[in-house]
Amino acid sequence: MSDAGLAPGAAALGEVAAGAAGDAPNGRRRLGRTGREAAVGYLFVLPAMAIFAVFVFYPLVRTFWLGFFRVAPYPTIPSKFVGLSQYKSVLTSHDFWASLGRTVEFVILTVPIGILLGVGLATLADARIRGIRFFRTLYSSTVATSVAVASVIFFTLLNPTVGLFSYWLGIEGGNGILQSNTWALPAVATVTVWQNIGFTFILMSAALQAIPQDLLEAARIDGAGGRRRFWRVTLPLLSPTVFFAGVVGIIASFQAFGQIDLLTQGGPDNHTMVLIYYLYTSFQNNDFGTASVLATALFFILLAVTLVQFRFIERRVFYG
Amino acid sequence: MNGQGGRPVDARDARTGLGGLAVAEPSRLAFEGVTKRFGDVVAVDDLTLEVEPGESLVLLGPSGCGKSTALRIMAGLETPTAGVVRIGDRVVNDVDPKDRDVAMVFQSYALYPHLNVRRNIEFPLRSRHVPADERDRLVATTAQSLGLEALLDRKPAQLSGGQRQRVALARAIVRHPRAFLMDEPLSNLDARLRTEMRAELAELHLRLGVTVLYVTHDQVEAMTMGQRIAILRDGALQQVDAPRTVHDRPANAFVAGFIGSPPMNILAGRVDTTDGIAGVVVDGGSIPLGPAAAAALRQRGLPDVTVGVRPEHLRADPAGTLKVTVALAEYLGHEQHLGCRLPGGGLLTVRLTGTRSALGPGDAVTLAVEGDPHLFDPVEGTRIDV
Repeated sequence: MSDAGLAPGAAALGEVAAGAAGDAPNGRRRLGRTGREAAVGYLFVLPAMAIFAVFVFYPLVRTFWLGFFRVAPYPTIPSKFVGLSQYKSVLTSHDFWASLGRTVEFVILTVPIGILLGVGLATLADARIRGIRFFRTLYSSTVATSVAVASVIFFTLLNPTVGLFSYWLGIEGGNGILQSNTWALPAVATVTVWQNIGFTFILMSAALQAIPQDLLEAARIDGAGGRRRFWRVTLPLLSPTVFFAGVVGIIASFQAFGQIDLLTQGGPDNHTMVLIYYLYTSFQNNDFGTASVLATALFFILLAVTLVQFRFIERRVFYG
Repeated sequence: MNGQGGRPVDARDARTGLGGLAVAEPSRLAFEGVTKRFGDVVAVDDLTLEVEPGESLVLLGPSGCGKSTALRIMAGLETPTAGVVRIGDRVVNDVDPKDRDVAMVFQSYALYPHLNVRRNIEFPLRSRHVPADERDRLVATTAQSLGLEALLDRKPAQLSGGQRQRVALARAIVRHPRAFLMDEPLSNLDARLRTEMRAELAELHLRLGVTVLYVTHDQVEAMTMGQRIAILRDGALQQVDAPRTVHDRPANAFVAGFIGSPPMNILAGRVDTTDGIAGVVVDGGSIPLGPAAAAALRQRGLPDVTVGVRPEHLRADPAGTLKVTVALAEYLGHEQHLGCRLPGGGLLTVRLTGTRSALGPGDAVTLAVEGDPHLFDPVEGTRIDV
């Protein structure tokens, strides 16, 4: 603040005020204090920032940059700067849109069903009956299973000659479900849902147990039957967890790789060629340029999806 | 419904400003030999108790005495192990809480945190498919009667403790239940607000004339809220009576020690037979008895007796019969409590009103007992009637 233009009286008042403030006679000193606090704050953030910088931010920028270069199929031939043209060609290609479509399909097949099953099983396992711990353990057990193990189990179950599922479905001896254009993606989605169910179950169980019993009892006395209690009390109070599971689930499904690599490698006939696997194949083919464009695209798609979720869906979420 | 005692509704409304708030005919509540066990623990032990239609009965007892369990049994949140529970004339043992038509106010208020005040109050009406216009009318009347109109669009988190309490009450009142069950509804409020809400609840009960079963561990609350008080201990009923009777004629030493603030002094005594029966010898001296009490003890013919003396019935008097030493003095403004050490180590509380006594720690003092002490059987603890 400048003193110019201030009436003498006002200046005198200012002096009085400054005097009354005692050990903080001017703004600079206060600023100094907040500055020091900020410095300490940044110091605490620094280690995390350093790790993020090296392993996340630098690769991110580098990936974005690599998208400007067309890489020749032979390592001996130097990459060529092509500007945005590679972004344009990849992002308008049929392969990109097809893989994005598969990815969306995959997300739709995995996330809602996963959450539904998680909430459902958690609600069932919340019952206070003898031996319920056994079921709780059972339902959460897949959390201790890796993607690889889950994939191998299902690979065997889905095997056209020795697989139990093929036998049950009466399609043993054929090409098998994983070779079916129609069923390959749902099969991979099933593995994903199965593998994630333990995590979702634990998440939902914890959230259910956090709901005060009083509220459900009050609802019972207020005349609400089981269904109304679930829809009007339990579910709204679960909504933050459901929302969280949704955000995390969508990101995980966009990035699901292991099960596809182990079960179908993007086949049959590209029917499980999701974005991340397309990226991987490009990378395998030494087409780092395309892979980088796809990685950048995946990043921005996930960013957009998450922002949309927070902007629109979070409004319906109740935080206690 | 008709006003209580045939009073015309209009007059009552004019008196109370309750508008069109009608209440269902209040019902009788009854426990008939109700027992509840949790594993080996007997929470409620053969409880037989009736709440008359329109009566406010308080279940009082220390924590863990089974009073909340009894209330939850009435609400249908717990199933009795044995016995019959009735609401009105209907046996409700196997009736779901939602079909019992009783309202409950929880200690935690149990407001639905994701719903605003209006939706909270409406909840029981929506559950019962009350038409929208009727619902709006009921919510408006109830909100008005409890001074909640300005808060209808707020969420519970935006309310103070007293306001939440009022919303919980509104949610209970709005559907005109046959009875109110209240589980320590005031214990989450600060002392000042509790006193205020206590008066409000008592007034509300008078206005609505509903049956209330009220659980508390606070004897002041019990004395002010209950037309009758039922005292429970370890799941067993000790006494059911009007507050004054419970205070003046406690059925046993437990009730005597539980009711009253500060609590009654309970002393082990021996009947003094040296020259007829004129008193009971206790640590620090003796307590004289009137002729009726003396006769009762003589008839009983046993040497030992438990004596109860209310702190307000003790006063410093050089002609007194108990010699004690003041151990601590608490000055509360309108009264003073003296903790007096007996020669044998026991503590005797004296409550002094009026002018502040100069007595302080270390002072030797002689106490006189006013009137007859309460006498109890030393083994059973039951009152020896005089």
